[in-house]
Amino acid sequence: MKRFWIGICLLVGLLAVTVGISVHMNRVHMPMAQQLRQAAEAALQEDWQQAAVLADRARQSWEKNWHCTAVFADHTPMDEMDGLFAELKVYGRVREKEHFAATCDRLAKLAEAMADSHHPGWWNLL
Amino acid sequence: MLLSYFRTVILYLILIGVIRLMGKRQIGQMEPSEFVVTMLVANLAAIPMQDGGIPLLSGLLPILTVLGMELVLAVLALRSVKLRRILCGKPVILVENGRILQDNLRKTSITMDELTGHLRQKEVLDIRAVQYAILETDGNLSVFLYPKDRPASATDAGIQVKPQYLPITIVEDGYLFRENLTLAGKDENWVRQILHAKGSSLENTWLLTVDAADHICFYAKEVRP
Repeated sequence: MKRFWIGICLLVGLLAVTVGISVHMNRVHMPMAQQLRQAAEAALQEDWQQAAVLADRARQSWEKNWHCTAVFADHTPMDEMDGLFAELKVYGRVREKEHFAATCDRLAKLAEAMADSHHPGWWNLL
Repeated sequence: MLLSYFRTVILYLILIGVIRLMGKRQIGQMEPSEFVVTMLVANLAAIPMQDGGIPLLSGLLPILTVLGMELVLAVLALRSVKLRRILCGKPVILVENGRILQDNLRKTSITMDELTGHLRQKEVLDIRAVQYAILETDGNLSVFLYPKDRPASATDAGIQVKPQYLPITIVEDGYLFRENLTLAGKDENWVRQILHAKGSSLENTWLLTVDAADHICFYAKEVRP
């Protein structure tokens, strides 16, 4: 019977941890994606101050949660996002609005995909 | 991670079903759920081991989920005959009173070649001598010959045999097992006396065992040239 309860504790504990991870990934990446989309929009309207602030907030959020994300997520898209954030800085400095907006959108898509890959939807389960 | 959890639960249950449907021939000395656990754990451990880009947790989490499922199902199967039947199946009689039950052979996908092969491994050449041949849930075949065809035991022959005792290891490779010494009802003085009589020391003893009838088995360490 002890083994049964160990098994139950293990299953319930793991379920709780994984639900927590899923919620955390969603909380971190969805607002980040939203900020990046708004930054893209601001850049296209040549509001560079607003675009820089939003992109910077997204980057800070990404960097703040980088280690935690690396523990749970595949490292390949993370490396890609690191590279894209570095590119974004340069596009912002030289005010290349098309490239800046495109990179923001790409980053937003990757962040959404990262959150979605932890969502227990049927499309992910199957 | 949550996906990994649910996927592992689904795959674990599906794999048990698949192994059960594949029949008992595929298992060999393991229950279907044990076979699935062995198969899954080995593969799950290999993924994060090979690829540094995949977090270790994505390998650990499914392994722990499989472990949790196995612990829970093992206890549930112990308590519920129905669940045990679903998870492990039930033994199937393949030969009864020298007659091959062809229907059961077909159901378990065992060919005549495999049946005779199993019987030969049990040193049975004539199926007519078999009273029962039962395919167990772990894929092994239990064979019971007619009493007249079984080798005579000491009781059958009316022979008085000496009782047999389990030897207890006292010294192994120069190491004295004190807990075994207590178990055998001996003390270190006794070991010293025995080793002295054998002209050896504790360090030079490879193996020393004793059983309840005080039969001693002693091997000295071989001297390397």
